Amino acid sequence: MAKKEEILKIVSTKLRHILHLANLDYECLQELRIRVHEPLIITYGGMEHFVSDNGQLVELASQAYQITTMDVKETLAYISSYSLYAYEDEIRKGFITVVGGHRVGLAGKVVLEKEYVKSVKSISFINIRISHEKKGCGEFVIPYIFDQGKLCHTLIISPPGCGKTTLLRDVIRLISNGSKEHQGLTVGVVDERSEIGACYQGVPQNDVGIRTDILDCCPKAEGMLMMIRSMSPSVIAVDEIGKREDIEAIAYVMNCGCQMLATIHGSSIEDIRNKPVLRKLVEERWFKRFIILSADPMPGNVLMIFDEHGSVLFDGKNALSKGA
Amino acid sequence: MILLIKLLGSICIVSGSIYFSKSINHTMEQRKKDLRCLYSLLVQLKSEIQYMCNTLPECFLRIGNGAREPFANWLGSIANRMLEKEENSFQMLWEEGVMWLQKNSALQSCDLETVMELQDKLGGEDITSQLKAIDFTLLHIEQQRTLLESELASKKKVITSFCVFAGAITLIFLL
Repeated sequence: MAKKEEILKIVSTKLRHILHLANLDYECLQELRIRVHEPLIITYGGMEHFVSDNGQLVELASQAYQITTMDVKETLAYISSYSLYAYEDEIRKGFITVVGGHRVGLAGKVVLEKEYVKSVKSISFINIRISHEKKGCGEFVIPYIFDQGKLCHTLIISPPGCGKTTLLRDVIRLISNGSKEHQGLTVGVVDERSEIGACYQGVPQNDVGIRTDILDCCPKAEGMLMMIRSMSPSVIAVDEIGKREDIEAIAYVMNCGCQMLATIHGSSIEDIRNKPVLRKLVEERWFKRFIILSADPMPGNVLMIFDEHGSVLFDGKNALSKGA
Repeated sequence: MILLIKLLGSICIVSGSIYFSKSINHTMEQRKKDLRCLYSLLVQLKSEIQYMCNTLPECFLRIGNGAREPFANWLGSIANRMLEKEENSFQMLWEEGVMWLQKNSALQSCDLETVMELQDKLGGEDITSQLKAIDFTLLHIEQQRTLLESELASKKKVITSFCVFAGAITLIFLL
């Protein structure tokens, strides 16, 4: 199904009509904001726009189409296939993944049980984030994360929004499919937030390779152990590690002879070293490769690649200045 | 000759009465079967929601695949319309579906009363209230079935006797 159809299928019939009139290039559409009694807003080509009743992109909020309660209810019905109960866990986490891997963020009144979020009711705010798979963005780093034909334990480090998950997804795909230089490896992905495979009803909506198994919506630490026990992968991949139990599971994975691919929030190796839980990852040289990303000039830019001794294998700044 | 014609006419009347009584009994039997089938489908729906956590269109498709007509058509068409995502409310879809079922099965409006009420419960956030609503519907169907079964035996006899008696009286008058 084309991206346009995937998006139009999950919005109310009125919004469907407006977006149809807007004649957008869905490759440039990033977000769709639906808030009750507020104007319809889209993020298109990196810019925020209001959308009028006749599909025009306008500058004034007063000229934009005002979202009604019915629009939100209808959109919610389509997103959940008229079955909100089936998405109880997802709603509790604040998002639902739909066909095509698009993420629908939801907000409303939170229902608490003791101090935990039990559910979200009266959902009035919907944010549809359109998934854009960047195939091939990992090709550049592949030669650096293999050492004498063997995949190294690799940690991708970057601040939020710099393309960690996108890079990880493509690296998984490349490792799983294999190439002339490297044989394909069985990859076990523990996708706690459904961001890597973007599974919809168990089927990955993103291309993660032919030898990849996914444990969807599973807590990372538990999932890594489950993966090893059940699927005997050669490589385990997880997104956004950070908790103490994640570190313990990573140690177990590494001791089992599996290679580890992970991402973490931070802007440098120093950042990781400064976090008490994560310090030993660097000091005890668990990971053999560190890839640092930045969003400058655009998300997914590889800033540096280090090995476990801190030797620079690739320096993006120098490469850029030399290129310039 | 006249006697023979009268005799033939009388046989026709008696056979017609018997056929009429049989067809009434068949409708009642069919209603009993349909109630049993509806009960079984709702039990399946309950477990699909409770244990499999499937969405309603998935539930209807799965259950509909194993059901007989007209139930297969009923569930299948609701599921397909839901998957098209062109109708803005489940309530409307369900209401139309239940009305269609009433027309195309031996079920009566009193049997489908609580099934119709499911339109406000199914698909909501609260899984417990949905399960309780299904339980209530199951209870209602079970009661309807028990009532029908207790009445069925006596009604069958009364209808058959009445029809045969009516045929016999006509026969006497004719002869």
